[in-house]
Amino acid sequence: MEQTDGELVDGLARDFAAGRQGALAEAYSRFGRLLYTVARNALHDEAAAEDCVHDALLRVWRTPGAYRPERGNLRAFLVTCVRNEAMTMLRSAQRRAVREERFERLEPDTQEGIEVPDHVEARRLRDAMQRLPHQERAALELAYFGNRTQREVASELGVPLGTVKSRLSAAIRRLGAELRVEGTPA
Amino acid sequence: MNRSHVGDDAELYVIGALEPAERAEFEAHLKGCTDCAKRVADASQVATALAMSLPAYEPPHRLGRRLAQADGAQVAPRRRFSLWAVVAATAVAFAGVLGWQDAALYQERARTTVALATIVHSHFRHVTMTSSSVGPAAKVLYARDGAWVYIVVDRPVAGVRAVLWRGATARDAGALQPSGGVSTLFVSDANRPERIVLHEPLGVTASATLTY
Repeated sequence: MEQTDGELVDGLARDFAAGRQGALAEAYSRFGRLLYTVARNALHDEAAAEDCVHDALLRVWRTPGAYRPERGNLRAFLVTCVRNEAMTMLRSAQRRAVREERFERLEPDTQEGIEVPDHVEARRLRDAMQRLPHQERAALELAYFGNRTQREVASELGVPLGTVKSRLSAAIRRLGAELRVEGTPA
Repeated sequence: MNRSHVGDDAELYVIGALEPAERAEFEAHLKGCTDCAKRVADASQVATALAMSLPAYEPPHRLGRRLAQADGAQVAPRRRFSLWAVVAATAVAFAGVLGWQDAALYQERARTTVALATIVHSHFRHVTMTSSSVGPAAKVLYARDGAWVYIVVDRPVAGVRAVLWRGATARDAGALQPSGGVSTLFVSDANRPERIVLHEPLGVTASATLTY
């Protein structure tokens, strides 16, 4: 019997949660481009982004219980993992040295280049962000597109940490409602 | 630490806005809190939407190869089994629960996934193997840097093993596995072989020279 794509993704999520062989490669084949995009935009470094995705995926695949269905769909879970891994790397005092070393062994056959993102999704998000209250949007843009932590956002905006926390949380919850993403398939 | 609630941390967590220590504390809490896990799941969908709005980059081929190799090598080094032995052992373990047929399908799926994921994310070459008069038609796909090889024979065969030669050193890479109408063998750690020879019990059946 042929499986639907949704059934295949559900099966992949179960295999990944169990750390089964084949699940890591399959997850990467499905979500690798998005995950690498997340890392690359945060780190602005090809080799560092590669290591970021590699390390984040390997860690959660090898850790029993790291991924559970209640954490949401596998793609969203992995996006969050890679984003946090990238932010950790970004703050590593040794990142510059590592990056320079990695540049030495770049392969010439690497394909790269900025491509146009999904127009429909990008437009939906842009429109939803425009409808956010100005202060919430400013905090979110600094945190996400500026790769800042909440403390850095608070410092740059000159507002208390608790205020930044509230603004970021509210912005994301508001975007979630706007985008109706709760039912988005993996 | 298991705090009673996480406040707004769930939303900050998914966009990476928590400091490392705060994140570690939050993740520890998350393991035992279904409510917070649900809140993170909802917020993660927004994080995915944000990610999809970013300028897209094509990942380097090497990354797919590294992950495919890690996928295939997770258990092998510890137990000194080959990749296929590990897959086969996994299949046997599942056999009691799923039935032998399902286990065989799982084994084939895992093997094929590793091989195809590696190939898709690589630049590769191919060469037709020179067969003896009674031998099968066969082809070798191989990474340009020699990191992996994938051998395909055009019929189901039993007992045919692949030997990888580099200089004067030969290495038995294992037996080809019949599947459907063909037989295949994926060697994820080929180490830049110069020549591949297929042996059946009564002698050489095909060979190919690899160029880089």
